[in-house]
Amino acid sequence: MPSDRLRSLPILGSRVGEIEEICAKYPDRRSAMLPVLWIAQNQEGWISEDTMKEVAEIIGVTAAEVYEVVSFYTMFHQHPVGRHHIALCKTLSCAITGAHEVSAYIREKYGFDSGKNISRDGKFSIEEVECIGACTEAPAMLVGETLHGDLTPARIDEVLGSLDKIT
Amino acid sequence: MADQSVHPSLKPAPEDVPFVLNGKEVVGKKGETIITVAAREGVYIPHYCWHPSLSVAGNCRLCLVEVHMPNPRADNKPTPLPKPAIACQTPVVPGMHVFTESELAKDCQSGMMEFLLVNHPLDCPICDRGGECMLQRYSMEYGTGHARMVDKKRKFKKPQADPLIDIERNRCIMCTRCVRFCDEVAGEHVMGVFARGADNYIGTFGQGPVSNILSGNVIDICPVGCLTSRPFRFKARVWELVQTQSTSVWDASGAKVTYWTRSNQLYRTTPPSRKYHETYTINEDTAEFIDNITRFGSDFPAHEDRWEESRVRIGEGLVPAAFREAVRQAARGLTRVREQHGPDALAVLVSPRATMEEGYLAAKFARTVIGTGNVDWRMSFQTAEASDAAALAFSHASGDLEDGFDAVVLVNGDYLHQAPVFAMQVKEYARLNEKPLILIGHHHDAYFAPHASWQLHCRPGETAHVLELLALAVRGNDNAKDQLSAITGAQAEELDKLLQLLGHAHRKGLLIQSLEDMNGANLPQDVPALLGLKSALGEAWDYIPVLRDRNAFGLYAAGAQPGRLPGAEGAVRKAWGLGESAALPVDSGVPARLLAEKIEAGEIKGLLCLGADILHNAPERERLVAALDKLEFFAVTDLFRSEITEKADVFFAAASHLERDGTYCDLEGNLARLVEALPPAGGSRPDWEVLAGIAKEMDGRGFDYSSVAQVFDEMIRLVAPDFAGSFKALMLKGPRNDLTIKDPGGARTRGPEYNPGDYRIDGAHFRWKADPLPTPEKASPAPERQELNEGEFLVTWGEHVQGSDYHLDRASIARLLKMAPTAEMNPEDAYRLGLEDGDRAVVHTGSDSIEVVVKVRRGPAPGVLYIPSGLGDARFAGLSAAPLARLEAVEAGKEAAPAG
Ligand code: SF4
Ligand code: SF4
Ligand code: FES
Ligand code: FES
Repeated sequence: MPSDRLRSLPILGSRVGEIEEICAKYPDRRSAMLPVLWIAQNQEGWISEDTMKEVAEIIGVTAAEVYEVVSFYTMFHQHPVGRHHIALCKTLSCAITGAHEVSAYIREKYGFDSGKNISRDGKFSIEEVECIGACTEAPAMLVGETLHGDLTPARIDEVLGSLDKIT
Repeated sequence: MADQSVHPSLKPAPEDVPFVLNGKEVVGKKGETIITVAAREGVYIPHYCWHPSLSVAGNCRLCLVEVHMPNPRADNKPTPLPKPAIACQTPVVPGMHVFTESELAKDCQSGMMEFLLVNHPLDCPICDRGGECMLQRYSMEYGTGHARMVDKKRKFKKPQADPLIDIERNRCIMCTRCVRFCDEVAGEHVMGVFARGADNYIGTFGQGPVSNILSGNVIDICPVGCLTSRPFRFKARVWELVQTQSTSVWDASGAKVTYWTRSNQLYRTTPPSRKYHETYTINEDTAEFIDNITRFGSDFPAHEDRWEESRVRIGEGLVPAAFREAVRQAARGLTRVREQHGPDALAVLVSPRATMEEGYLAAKFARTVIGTGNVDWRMSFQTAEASDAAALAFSHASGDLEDGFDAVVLVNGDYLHQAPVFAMQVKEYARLNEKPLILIGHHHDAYFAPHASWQLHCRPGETAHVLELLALAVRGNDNAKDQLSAITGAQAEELDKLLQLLGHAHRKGLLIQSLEDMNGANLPQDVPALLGLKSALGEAWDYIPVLRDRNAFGLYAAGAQPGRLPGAEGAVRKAWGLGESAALPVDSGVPARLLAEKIEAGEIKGLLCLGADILHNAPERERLVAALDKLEFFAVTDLFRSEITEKADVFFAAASHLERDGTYCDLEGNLARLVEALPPAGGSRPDWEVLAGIAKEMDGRGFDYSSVAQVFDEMIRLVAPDFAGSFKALMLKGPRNDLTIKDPGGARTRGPEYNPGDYRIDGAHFRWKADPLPTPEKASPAPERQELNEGEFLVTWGEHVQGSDYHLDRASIARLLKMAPTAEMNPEDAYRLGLEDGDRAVVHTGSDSIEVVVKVRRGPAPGVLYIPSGLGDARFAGLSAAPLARLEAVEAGKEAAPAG
């Protein structure tokens, strides 16, 4: 496949070098679907329909196949996320120790309109996820890729407040 | 590239596997699954996700059975497996014991049924699947009859993705049959399973349509009411409908269908229904798929333009008249022209959708009653020479897919859209049996391209040259091989492998050639070139020409064209009551394609046209319609009023394909019955009655038929010597309603009963005995290649079964399906121009410009643009056939540049 063509893709064109390296690791290009999607999500923050079409073209499958994978894994976002994405655990240990209150606190304090998962200023987005394996520190959340446990209002403000200041 | 080292036909036959099924000793083959062997043995194992034509998914778990395996640690005594096994995926093993009706198996079945119903809405009263639903049926047979589920059921929003197929996700049981069908059979992974776990749902990317000509089949293979037919939605309950086993009027592949009718109306068209539990119902495990045109395009007779009474011209207007009166007028008109201008001033046209009986009677009528050879059906060709090439092709036709093949060569064509079911069968046979597919020419069918072992591309006009070179190369001419490599760009070692494959004497091969428009100009060279290749390849190779016209073969066989009688001349003379010396014009006829010219020149003065669609669909329609004014007498049979019927002196209201009996022949030479599903509307009559009536009025002898069965009988005795197989079955079954099967279960069905997998119960198979054409000594000179500038293409126009058609335009598919014009191009060209599948572009040819959606496929050769003529907006009847076109991309969001 002529890579000129791939290089001209508006979203992933500039990443073709990396992507080709990944594809080379597999006997079949389609096997590179997950890593390529990660590249896309890390760059864009989320995976749009246009991104899926590009991924489909790069690895030689139909867009429907890409969408099957994207919709299967909740860690792929199908909607735009905030600059900082919060994955808040809602499973048993966290639920018992107050995940609901944590959720309500964050939503109230950091400018989420009711029913919305992204804050008004687009700085934060929140998503409720299943157990993230930090039950000993419940309630827990991931901000980006960093784990924060034993959440209390003070602790939340400490974590999110510092991020809040950066930008 | 498929593995050519060990050819599948050389692999040893799989070993026998003896095992015990429900206490009975049975034998399977190594690698077979329990469910396949059980089905063969007549043991029904309930299943949803398993389908004989699809890969195994093993996700519904309804086929769980109890299995005991021989235990080597206990003297090989059968020991129960710790868990039940799914019959659709578990291979048979020697000595295993399978129980499909044990307590455990029954427990599994009812348990799985309960699971499947956890989220099921159970809205059977408003569900179109009711009455033929596998979920309903299994609930009765294997379920518990009550639910323990108390929680709220999951609910999906209803997406509106496809204009023809309705999706009701709440009813889906996630068997993924539809997904696998699109992926494997229809050839595109357009449907998918999205999300996860309890939120799983099926759909298409971006809510797009399921855009395939075979997509309608997902309706039948969906075991529940998730996918249903939009035109049929809420129209009727299936058990109230009468079923008639008949055949498609659209697909030249000869697809069998069931027409579902009630109170003089057609409700739906499906693949043939089957007897199940004493009633006839659609067969959820059907492998007899039909195309969307047959499924959604068979209801055109109900269109409001229908004229149901015969009419005769009085002054300026056509006034309703009794059938007898119309017959008298027609006979008088034809007699007058014959007396004044001689018999050759008259011509008889037969629609390519006419039955064999009608074609036969037209031929007999023209030759004996009028005394002319002017009878023809071949209007759809670009030139008269092309129609003669088609006759040559037919005389060599011999293939039959039923026999299978070891290799298949497809020359130029859009087979999926010219004979959809045939194309599907070829592709599926090649795919499932790992047989090599070889594509040759300037346009390859994109449906086959992904499965092709070899693709030899060339420019338009070079196909014959390439075929000749290939024939010479097969004969061992190395020079030809080098030229072949130069012209097609194929690597020498690829060609060596190909030649080795083709040269294998034991192989049974199939050569397939499209006789459609896209090759029109080149057919006179292409047909002999391929037949030359056939001779070079040897006896084991068969040849099938493909034409969209439904009954092309049948009309050819029935002698309804110049130069062809329905049988040997002596036999025909005898049957038609003609002495040795009586005139029997055979070769003198005017080809239909030259009709306009001959009328303009005043050589043809009277016309009897059976089925006005032949005029409406003519390539030179405008010219032909204008020419009709010059006729002294014009009689036509038609369903609808139109500008053509306005010009008629006598109009006969014709009975539609649903309203008459007859015989069709498909492109493999198999016969199929068209069976009367509805009484003729109003005063309409089948064309054979019109012909017999006029003939008798003109004192023709031998037209005293009282049923179409008598015509068939007379015809088949003449045509029969062309049959290779037996035609006894066909002769024994009259085509009328003596075939009606009254069913005690309430649902009624009529028509011949087709058994699963048995396509030939009512038919026999044509095999004409033409002498093989010699392989040329040397190839004709290569045509000069035209230099193409950036953005320039050689255009090849394609006719499409989904294309504009006089009848199809009046069917529900034309109302529902909005097609955009498309242009297919090779990935190479697309990359160079920076175009992507789905982009918009403008094609300028001559003085015309059209906006198209670009499709990037491996079908067209580099430098070739393939533009099929589709329904509605996608029709290009008026476009000049300029071979050279310039293509300009349209930037997203911008409007196309103005035409010019
Ligand atoms: S799919 Fe079957 S069980 Fe479900 S509502 Fe329709 S008819 Fe009833
Ligand atoms: S829509 Fe029908 S065929 Fe498709 S997965 Fe659902 S139940 Fe199966
Ligand atoms: S339940 Fe929240 S981290 Fe495990
Ligand atoms: S039929 Fe076996 S699991 Fe569905």
